Amino acid sequence: MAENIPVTVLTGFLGSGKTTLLNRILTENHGQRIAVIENEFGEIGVDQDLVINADEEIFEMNNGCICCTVRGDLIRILGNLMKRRDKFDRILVETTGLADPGPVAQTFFVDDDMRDSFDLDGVITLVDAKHAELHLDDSEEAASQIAFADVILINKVDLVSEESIEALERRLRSMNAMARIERVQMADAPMEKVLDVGGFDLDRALEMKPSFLEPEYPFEWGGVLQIDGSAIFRLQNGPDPAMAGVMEPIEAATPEALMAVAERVYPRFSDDDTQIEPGASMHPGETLWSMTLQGADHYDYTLAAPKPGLYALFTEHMPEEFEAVFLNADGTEMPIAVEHVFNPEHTHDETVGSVALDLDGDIDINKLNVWLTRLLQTRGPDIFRMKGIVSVSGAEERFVFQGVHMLFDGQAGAPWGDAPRASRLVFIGRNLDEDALNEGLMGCRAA
Amino acid sequence: MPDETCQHWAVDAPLSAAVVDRGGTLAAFAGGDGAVRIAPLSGGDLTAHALSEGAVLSLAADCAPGAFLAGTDDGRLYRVTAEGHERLLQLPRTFPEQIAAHSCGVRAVSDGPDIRLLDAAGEAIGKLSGHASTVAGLQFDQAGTRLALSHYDGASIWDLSSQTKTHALYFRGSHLSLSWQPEGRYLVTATQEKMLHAWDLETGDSVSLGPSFLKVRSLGWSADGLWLFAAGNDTVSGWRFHRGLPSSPAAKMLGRFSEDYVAQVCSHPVHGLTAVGYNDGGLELMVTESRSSRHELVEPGGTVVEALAWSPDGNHLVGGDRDGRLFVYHFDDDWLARLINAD
Repeated sequence: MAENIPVTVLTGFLGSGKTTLLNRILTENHGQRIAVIENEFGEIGVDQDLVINADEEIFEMNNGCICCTVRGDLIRILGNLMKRRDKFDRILVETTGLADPGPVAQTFFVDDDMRDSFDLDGVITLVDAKHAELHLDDSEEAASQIAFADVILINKVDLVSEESIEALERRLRSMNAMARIERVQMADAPMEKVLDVGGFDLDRALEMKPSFLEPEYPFEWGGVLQIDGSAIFRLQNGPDPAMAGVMEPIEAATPEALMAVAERVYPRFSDDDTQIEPGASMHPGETLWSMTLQGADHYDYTLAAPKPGLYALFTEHMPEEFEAVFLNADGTEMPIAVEHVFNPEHTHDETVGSVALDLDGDIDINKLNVWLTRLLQTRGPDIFRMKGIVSVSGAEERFVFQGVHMLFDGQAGAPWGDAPRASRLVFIGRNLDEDALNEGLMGCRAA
Repeated sequence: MPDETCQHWAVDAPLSAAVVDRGGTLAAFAGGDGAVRIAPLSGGDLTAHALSEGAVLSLAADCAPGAFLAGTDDGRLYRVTAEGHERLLQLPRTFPEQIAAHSCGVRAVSDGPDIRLLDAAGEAIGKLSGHASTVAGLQFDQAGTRLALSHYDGASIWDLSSQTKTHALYFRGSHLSLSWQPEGRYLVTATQEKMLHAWDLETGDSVSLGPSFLKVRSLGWSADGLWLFAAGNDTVSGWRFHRGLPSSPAAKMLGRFSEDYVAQVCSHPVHGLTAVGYNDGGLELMVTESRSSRHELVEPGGTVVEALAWSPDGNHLVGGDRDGRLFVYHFDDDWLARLINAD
């Protein structure tokens, strides 16, 4: 039996540089013969025998699977291509900028002939650093292209600022915690990052390492100061007429200690604040201080230390927005020992996101089956992709699975051996309810 | 002369279709290497006509005896005879995946969701448009006055003299091929979902038949039009159409059980006899309404039988497999009569 042919799906927003990437893949000397199924006739500029035009003919199955749409044209074209199997090593399917990758991915799970001859290797989504935010704001398809991706290439990074790339990365990461995000210019992605991704390969499911954003904090900045007595926090006029802050003793001037204190003071920012006027003092402890920052040129607040030592201050906004400085009693500037910029609470209310569930111990496979079947029946259209490694009670091997909408594929993986037995499930979808998913998984614990 | 004779050839290309010409003198084989190979049924060498760098996707008997139509995956339609070949059409962006011709002098070629009609001289005489997707199955009725075709969400029937659609037959899903009963009353499609869907054109009723283990790649009618046969299970699937659609969707299991699956069914044009090709390379003749009476032509142990076709007189069976093994069998009338009456 000949080996299955890998298939890469290339999606991307309009104007993201898909054709440039495609031409690059075709001309680069990677020693592979690639048959391309492109969506627009004659878009590719190079001489290539195996470029086939397709019309993205999608049909709905009659099987009651509410989200089961399939690319019938791909089944037909790939079936025809198999008659000259010896002429190519891999397939690249390009979709239009407006296409939802769901039907393409599902095609490789629904059809027996496709399953027997091809392996879906990965979905590559190309976005344009400059216009991606706009596309994401007004296109459902753009969101599903991100949600389905194994690799997201941010193209044209040379045309925008570092800050806006970081903001875009944060946004993409909040939508899809599984994808690898790469920055490129002129679509110059290294081939090894685009081909042989193994995104749907159950044997490689153990490499699954979702990277979730660090939690979001109600404050943007935290810093550590050595205060012997008191310090002056001097602010100028800034974008807001007031700013909340919390002061807290800290054990060490290290980033780790600062993060630990941040976790502790986090809830205080949802308490009622105590409004204070310039000249007043802030003390360490439970109080959420709200500094008034209007009506003068500058505002001095005293950070009062009950005893000499290290103190952490967390502020709602970035101190630099208020040109703030810390001063010793003699008016000299006080150095900040350690500081950290915290993720602001996100400004985009994404409906597409990722949820990871972890559970120590074993799972009852029958309960898991019932739960997942019901979940996919009711929420299938909203769950774009799903991956899992499960510790099944009584089984020596890991059970690995993955799904695309309502389609599901699982097998036994590597043995547990001495590794601690635990399960991890990752969902990428629309309007996912983490608590409900977690509760569902908890209900599958082995007795 | 022996009762049953066979000629065979091995070529280095998977078979995509096999057809006998309208005169019953030539067999043609379409190859994945872009060649159409022609052999005289009376015996003789195989002549290869290289048409394309890609694959030959489709093959049909042309209007006149001694000629074939072939569609290639560089978008071209050719007329091929034992002597040579000529290009009839170059489609700009699709492939002539479905082609059919009728002895009355009309040819139909799929061009994505459209059908182009040509006359026997190769002149364009019409275009049938407005189908839900690329056309996947194509068949003339016996008189050559109507054309049936399948596509997403059902099938359509066109009257050719007025070039109007007379039937829009709806059933959700992708309809991959079709077969029209010889009398023209029933139209059956094979769907992506491993089912068949049968319409009774007299009553307007329709019914789903199946399911089968595999997608049905081959289906057809017995010579008397009473039986529908289909591949895709571990036996031949059969449904009897007697004064209406079958009452049960479940198939009657006919012929031998196979370790593998039935790949091709092709009924004899005169007798109650069906040629059956299997995924394991086995090939046999099955007497329609008998479990026991069959004749094995090739033992299992090879690769998928990709195509089967009878000559119009029923004395020759042609076909081949995925590895490029091609065959032409000859059965004389006495031999066929003995096989049928052995039961």
